[in-house]
Amino acid sequence: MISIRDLKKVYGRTQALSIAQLEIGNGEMFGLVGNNGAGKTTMFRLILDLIEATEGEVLIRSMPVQRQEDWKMITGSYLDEGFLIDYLSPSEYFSFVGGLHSWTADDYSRFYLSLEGFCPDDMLQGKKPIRSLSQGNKNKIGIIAALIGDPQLLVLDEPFAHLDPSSQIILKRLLKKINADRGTTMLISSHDLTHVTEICNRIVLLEEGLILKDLHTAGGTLGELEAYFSR
Amino acid sequence: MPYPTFVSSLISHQWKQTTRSAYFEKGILIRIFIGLMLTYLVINFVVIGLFMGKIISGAFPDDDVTWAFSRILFYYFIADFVLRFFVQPLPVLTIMPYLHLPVKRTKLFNFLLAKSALSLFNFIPLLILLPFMLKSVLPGSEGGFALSWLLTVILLVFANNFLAFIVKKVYLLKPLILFAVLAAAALLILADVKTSYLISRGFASAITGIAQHVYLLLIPLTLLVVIYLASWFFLYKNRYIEQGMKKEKLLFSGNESRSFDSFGIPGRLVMMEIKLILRNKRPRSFLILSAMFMFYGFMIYPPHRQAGTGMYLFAGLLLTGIFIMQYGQLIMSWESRSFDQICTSGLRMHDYFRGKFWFFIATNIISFLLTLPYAFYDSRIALVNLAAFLYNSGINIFIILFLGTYNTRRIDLGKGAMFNYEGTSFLHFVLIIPLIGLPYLIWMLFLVLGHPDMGFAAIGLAGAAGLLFSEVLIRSTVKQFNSRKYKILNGFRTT
Repeated sequence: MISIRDLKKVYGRTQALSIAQLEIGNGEMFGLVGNNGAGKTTMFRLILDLIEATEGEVLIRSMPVQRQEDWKMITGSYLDEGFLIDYLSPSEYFSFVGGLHSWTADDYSRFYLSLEGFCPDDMLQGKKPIRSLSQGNKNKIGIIAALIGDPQLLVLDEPFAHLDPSSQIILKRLLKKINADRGTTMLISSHDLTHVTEICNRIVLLEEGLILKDLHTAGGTLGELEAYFSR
Repeated sequence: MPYPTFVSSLISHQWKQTTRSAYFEKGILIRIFIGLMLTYLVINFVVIGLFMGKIISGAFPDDDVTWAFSRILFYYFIADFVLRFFVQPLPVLTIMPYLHLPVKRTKLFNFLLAKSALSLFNFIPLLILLPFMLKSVLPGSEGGFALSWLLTVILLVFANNFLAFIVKKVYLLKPLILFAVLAAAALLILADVKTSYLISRGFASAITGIAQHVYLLLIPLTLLVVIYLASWFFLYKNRYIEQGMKKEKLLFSGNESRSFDSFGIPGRLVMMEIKLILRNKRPRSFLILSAMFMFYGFMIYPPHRQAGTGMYLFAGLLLTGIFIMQYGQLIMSWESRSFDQICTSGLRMHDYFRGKFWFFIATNIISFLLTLPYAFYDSRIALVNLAAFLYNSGINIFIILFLGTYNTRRIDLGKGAMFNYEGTSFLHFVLIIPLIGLPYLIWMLFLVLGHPDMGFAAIGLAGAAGLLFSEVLIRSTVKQFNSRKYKILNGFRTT
């Protein structure tokens, strides 16, 4: 699904990210961990062509993201509040994003049903603008919008942050189900090691812009990660 | 708590609310700058007041100076009302935290209303009225005429204040009243012009008439009291709604967005742009300023009726394009807060700019239609404005979009437009020169050749050609955008 080749991002003299080679396969659940400043968000932004790579390139389905736009039609993403059009109500925002994928009313009702309570009904019917919602609800709106259009690739930065415990559990179940049903490739970063090890089958650990570990999740993965972070 | 202590603590709460707001905590330089600006303005107003008599007797040599000035006040009151409606902030002493305390509501309402009377809108006129009264009314008038005249006008200023207060409160409950306000103002002025100034003449005679007999002052006084009581009762009736108002209401929400669906993605984008403008303070004030700018024609057209068509061209370009020239310059900055979304959602940049293009066309059409009534002055205005409209649509839109890609500053949509230069750069002030200067040069060329009318045709044709090749121009706009994309994204994210 994604190929990264000789990708480098340098800010002034500091190297934010340097990845010689990384392949992410179709249907992979790819987890990204690392402390603040390790380069997680930089990597996601490079994949989504939001910042210019100093060197190298990213291919989604062998489309170079810098030179083509078609990858946008199969990619859903939510990194931060910059992805929300905050003067719209949640339902207006969803219908705007769905409109870009020519969704019909049937598509929406099927979609809302498939969310399994991740989005409370009163939020959909509400006429409040997104900007007046709480952090947790904003985060939810962003994740839901990323799922609109049934993307083949989903990129989420810290999806569990600010969510209440029930929503975290529902989200984990939801992501796993979407991955199992449709084979959606997912890139998920998180500071919560339990969550990532639970849902991802591959975990990459970044430190100062470099890939330090590339693990296939197994019984000992959580312990290995905890050992690294508690050094 | 004794009444004076209570009032003084309310005043101190207000003072703290103001001084502790984020807006006030600006640097000392900004405060000095604002102070200097205010002093400058005060001096200006006083000077205008002193010379008003001379200006008026120059403009209306046959009329009595006080009477002629009172006639002008008719228009002033209309403009004042509209301006208050849009600009004057409602005094928000949030009543809620006081309602459960042992305080009489009557006190709170009186305080709220008294506070609105302290607005600058009520004192700036005094800066002109007082010098004018002393210099031009007092000499040569008997008894208390001058004083009564001044009092009458001041009473009306305050009546206007409370009237605007009620209407604005109603507006919060029923936003559509906005159009009623604009329509009423336009109708009043139109009716006055159509009846050869019968209304404003009557108004002037009424004011000067009242001033001749002191007891007649009861009329404006009663008016003021009635309006004050009306606003008091309005506050009383809606005292529980105060809290509801704090909840943000979405203008233009619901299913009307579907009506644009048949236009495809560009149609949806136009819809989004409309929502962006109506729901955010700063773009909304751009819209209102552009709308008020339409009245600029009254200042341009009549004095230049004889002078030929050069001025018409200038006015036409400015009036039919004011919105795109003002709002358009920050075209992508308006969406700076969610620009990451625009670049990653399944939106092709070609469609994005196509949406911008159609939105601009729509606003140009509206501006053009609004300038058409000026054709009553001179039918040529319609033709000149048609050429200007075409040029603004076919050429200037693309110049604005092209230069817009150089604007990489983030904008906070929630702040007002007055004295707000966030996101504006030097470019903003210079841009207007090529937008108007270029077509002007084309026209001058034909003027020198002796065919000014062909000049208009040339401008119109240039615009039409731009419209014809709009898809090609949109494509090159996308190319330009792509070359600037990362700089724009970076600027929107960080600065």
